[in-house]
Amino acid sequence: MSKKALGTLTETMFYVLMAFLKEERCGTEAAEFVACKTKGRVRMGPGTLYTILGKFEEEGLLKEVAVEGRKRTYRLTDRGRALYQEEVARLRACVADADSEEVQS
Amino acid sequence: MSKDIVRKPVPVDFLDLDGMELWLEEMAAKGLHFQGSGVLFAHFLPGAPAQVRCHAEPTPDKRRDVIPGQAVDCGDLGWSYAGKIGWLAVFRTSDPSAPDFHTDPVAQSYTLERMTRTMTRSTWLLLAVMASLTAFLVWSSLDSSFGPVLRLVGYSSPYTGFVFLLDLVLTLHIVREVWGLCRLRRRLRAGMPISGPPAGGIPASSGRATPSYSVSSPWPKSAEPVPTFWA
Repeated sequence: MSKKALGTLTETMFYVLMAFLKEERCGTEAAEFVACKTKGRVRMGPGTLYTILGKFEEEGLLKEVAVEGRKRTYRLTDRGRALYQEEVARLRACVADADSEEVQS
Repeated sequence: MSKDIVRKPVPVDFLDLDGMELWLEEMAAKGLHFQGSGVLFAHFLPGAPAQVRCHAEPTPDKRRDVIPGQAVDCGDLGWSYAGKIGWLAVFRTSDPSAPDFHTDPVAQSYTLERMTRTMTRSTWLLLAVMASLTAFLVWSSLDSSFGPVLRLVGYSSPYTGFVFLLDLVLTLHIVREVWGLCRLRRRLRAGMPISGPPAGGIPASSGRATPSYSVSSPWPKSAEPVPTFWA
């Protein structure tokens, strides 16, 4: 994959990072987390899920911690956590801007 | 078992991902289900006609016995691995409720990175060889000290001209294809998905059910930006 760093996270990437915030998971568990958290609004195809996991691992956002048969378990790294928090701060700022605009109008 | 296999030449360019998917879906609708490919032909197993969705995913390894990583787990999300055709791993689903294979165009663009890098390198090499060959032919025809070479070129001039022209056409074709692939990757990275049927089924009236693939164009037929706040 590319050596180019990730730009802005997409919605799916953001939720994948969120899936690993509190516990180690495998890909299928991450997909279930995202579907449950978003009540089915964000759906992930297998290509997207495993491409994102591969890219995150390559970028040092996730680390593979266990392989049991076909099941690969990942953990969020400090770098991944920092990126997640950065994105949350950005989104909060966006929502605050939208709220302030609504109050004015 | 193997004598039941139907072999068909591939009418779609190997870099035309959308066209490849459309062709395989059309074959499944006719009752020919993709099983893999040989050196020259795609292999199909005859069966009942079925409405399936196919996805062609670029893989870093062309070897047919090397199964791509996604193949192991895609079953949990409703898709199965069917086989390889060139550099493309083919996945399919007959489950109308299964999500699309790729639901995030930006993530999908990462799958094209290695392929476009390799193809771009090869294209530059090809262009360099072509430029050297052209320069040599021009130089040899202008410089009389190239006597023996000139005689050789002159002796076989009709063949030399034909080979040179063929090489030029092939080079231009490959440049166009690679340019299209790079353009597709840029569009995906900008959040524009490759056109395809919506998850949840393939309406008979949809463009996807119609064999509208092009034989040479790797470009998406239409693409609307993803209406998202995030991308």
